[in-house]
Formats: sequence, C-alpha cells, structure tokens
Amino acid sequence: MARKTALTRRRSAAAADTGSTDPITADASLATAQKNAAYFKKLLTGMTHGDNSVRELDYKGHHVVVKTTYDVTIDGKPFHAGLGVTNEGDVHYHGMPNVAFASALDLVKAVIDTFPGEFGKGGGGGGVDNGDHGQGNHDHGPMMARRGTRKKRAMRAPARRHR
Amino acid sequence: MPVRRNILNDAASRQKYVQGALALKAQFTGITTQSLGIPGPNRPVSTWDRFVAWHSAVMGTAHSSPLFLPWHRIMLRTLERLIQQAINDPNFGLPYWDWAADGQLTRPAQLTSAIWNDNCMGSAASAPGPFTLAAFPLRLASNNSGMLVQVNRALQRTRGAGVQGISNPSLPKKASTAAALTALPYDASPWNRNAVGFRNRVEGWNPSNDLHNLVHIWVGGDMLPATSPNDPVFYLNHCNEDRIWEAWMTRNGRTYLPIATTTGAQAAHRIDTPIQSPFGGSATPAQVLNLSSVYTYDTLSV
Repeated sequence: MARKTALTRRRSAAAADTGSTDPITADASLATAQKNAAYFKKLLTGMTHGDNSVRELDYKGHHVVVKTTYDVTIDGKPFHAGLGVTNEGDVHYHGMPNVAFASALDLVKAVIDTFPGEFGKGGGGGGVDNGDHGQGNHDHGPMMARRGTRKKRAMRAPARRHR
Repeated sequence: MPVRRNILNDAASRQKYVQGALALKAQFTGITTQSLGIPGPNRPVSTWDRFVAWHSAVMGTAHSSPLFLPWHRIMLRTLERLIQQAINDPNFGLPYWDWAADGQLTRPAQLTSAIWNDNCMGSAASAPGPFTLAAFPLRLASNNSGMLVQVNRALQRTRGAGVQGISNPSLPKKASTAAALTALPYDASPWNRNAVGFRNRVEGWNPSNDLHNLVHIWVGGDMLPATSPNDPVFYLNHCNEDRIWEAWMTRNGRTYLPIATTTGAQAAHRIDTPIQSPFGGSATPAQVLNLSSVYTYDTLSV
C-alpha cells in the first residue's frame, strides 16, 4: 500500500502527452478481432470473483487490518459474485458494479429483484424473521445485529487487528 | 472535427446517434459467441454487442480504478468512429446527457425530461422508443454472478425507481458536478473505491451513489449489471463523464495518476500501460489525456 502524501502525489503527477493525432483505432472487421481474440476470450472466461475485502487503517500509531469475508446463500445455494466492502462500510458486488449498498441484505434483495428469473419462485424463509416486513428496514436491536443484519456489518466478517 | 453536443439541444446529434446505434446493432462482421467464449449456441455477435462483451470483460480493471476515465474515453471514441463509418458522417460527434441539469428538476419532472421522448431514448420500461425488440434485441446480458449469458429479449429500464435501500433516487445535482471539479488529485492510493480524489468522486463512490454511479442506478434495469452498454443511455452518461473530466483537466491540468514510478499501484493502472481494444490497437492513458484536436465539446460548463 502506497503511503505517499497527497502533496507528494500532486508534485509527481505526469504531464500529458500533447500529441495531436487520434491514437484510437476503430476497426470492426473480423480480421482485426481475430488478432486479439484470445486476449479478450481469456478475460471473459477467466473472470473470478473473490468475496473478500481487506481494509487497512493507521490510527494513533497502530496499523489496523480488517478482513471481511462474505458467505451468502440463497435458498441454500452458495452465492459467490464478488462481494466487497468499502472503508465507509458500503457493500458492493461485481454483478451490479455501480451500486453501494448500505448492507449485504439490501444487496441480496436487489440481486433477487434484478435477476428474478434466476432464483425461481421464493419458498419462504422457514419461519425465520428476516427483519423486513415489506416497508423499509427497521432495526430489531442486538439480536438482529448478531444475525448479521446491521448496517456496516458483514454477514460473516472475521476481523482481525494486527499489531 | 466532431463536436459533442447536448442531446437535448441538438436534434441532428440525437437523430444520428439513434441511427448509429441501430446500425451497429444490425452490423455483423463475423464475430460469434463462440469466438468470445460465451456459453450457449454459437451465434453472430453484432458490433454494438461486442462493446457489451468488452465492457463486461474489463470490469475489474476499468472500474473503481484510475483507468475508469481513460478506458471509457477509448471506448467512447471507438464507438464514435464506428458510428461515423456506419452513417457515413466523419464529423458525427457523440451527444452527451447533462443529467445534472435534469437533476435540478423535481423527481416527477426528471421522468418527463425530453431525453425520454420516443424520438430519443424512449420512456417505456421495456423496448423504449426506437429500441424495439425487433430493431434492438438484447442478446448478451449478465447473470446474477456477473457472467455473460445469451438472451433474446427487449431492453429494460426502471427509471427513477432505484434499488433496495436507494428507493426513488434523484438524478445527480449540479452541486455535485461543481464539487467534483475541485477534487484533487486525479486519483490516490489505494486506487480503488476508497480513494480520495477526482476519479473516485466522479465515478460515484466518494460520496457513494453519486454522479456516474447514480445515473446507472436511476436508469436501472439493464443499466445495473456489467452489461450496461446494452442501453444507449450508457454512452450518453459516459460522454457526460468524459466532458466533466475534460472540464476538470482544463481547470486543473492534464495530469494522471499513477505515473510509471508510483509505488503501490498496479502496473495495469499506470499512465504508460497500453489499454487493449478489440477494435484495433492499444492506447495508453497518457495518449488520451489530450484529445482536444480530435473532438471537442460544445461547452465545458458542467
């Protein structure tokens, strides 16, 4: 992790290439596509998404590392799609790459909303109160927090502080 | 030289963009799903849909990273040139959507902005405006894991509805674009969603769900997954992002970070690392910082 100051970074920023020609080519032909087809095929077929995040913080002389792992199932089936968490506690996900969710539960609900055909018909949650009665998310207090529904808390988030 | 104009103020740009989108959707040059490694039957892939696959393939490097702006600049310019060829107009410039202007309207008025007229992007939740199922079928989409799959359905939007936890959002405001112009530096360690700087602000992670990201959320539907270039609104959004970047560079200098010697940054994100294109050669971030002799904007007032 780089530890340069903002001032140092500003001083070392590169000046732009002031060239005036268009460096971008645009050829839709098969021949051009075939030249780098293997590269893009590898990108598309080799996508892997870890469900881990590492957050680091230096605070009062202490170096803090928070590792978060999401272990999500939907109807008992593992849901692996690259969940992560930002320093602000927002949860994000590869499948909807432009959204910061307040919780992993909101994220999973959005996944089911956005890809309804991929999960079949919901069969209920086995009588478990999921804390959502249809009109927003309200807080059931510490019990719900222990079940991992609170904002800024991972569904399973083993966090270790080093040093 | 192409001039990129506000789609709401220039009927010719609007008409040509729609014409170009439909033309590239119908253009097949021999690329197939098999050649791209997309599972399912081997089917031809249109030029428009090749951009969808390209964007999906590079989600990990071209987003939430310093490459966000130069990578999309290359994508936009590539599309612009291919539309120029398709409609035989070398001066065609991609239009932009000044969404922050619409963001100043009330939420109901945002839904009836002229961009959603049926001769522009259309207002229907399915197969909007010119983008009917027959003329503009979606053939590639992301599944819930973010992987490309083959489909055959109409373009979908959920304008203004939002997603879980972000219901009924407003479009971004002018105050946010103004604040972005003063954000320094361009980018900073850790070079991701946690960075402080212009790129992360204009992408919409800091503060979260703002600017570019908020536009994806607001339009919804097919603008949510990594296959968001399915929707022609995608390019109007990114053209405005590119315009904001140009305004920022005009104000703050044509600088980019990380440079070649910046420690702690991925090599793929550096100013001199080539960005590969399936439509030809590569270009580095340094090479695309100043394209003011290639295209211009009608205004840099954001």
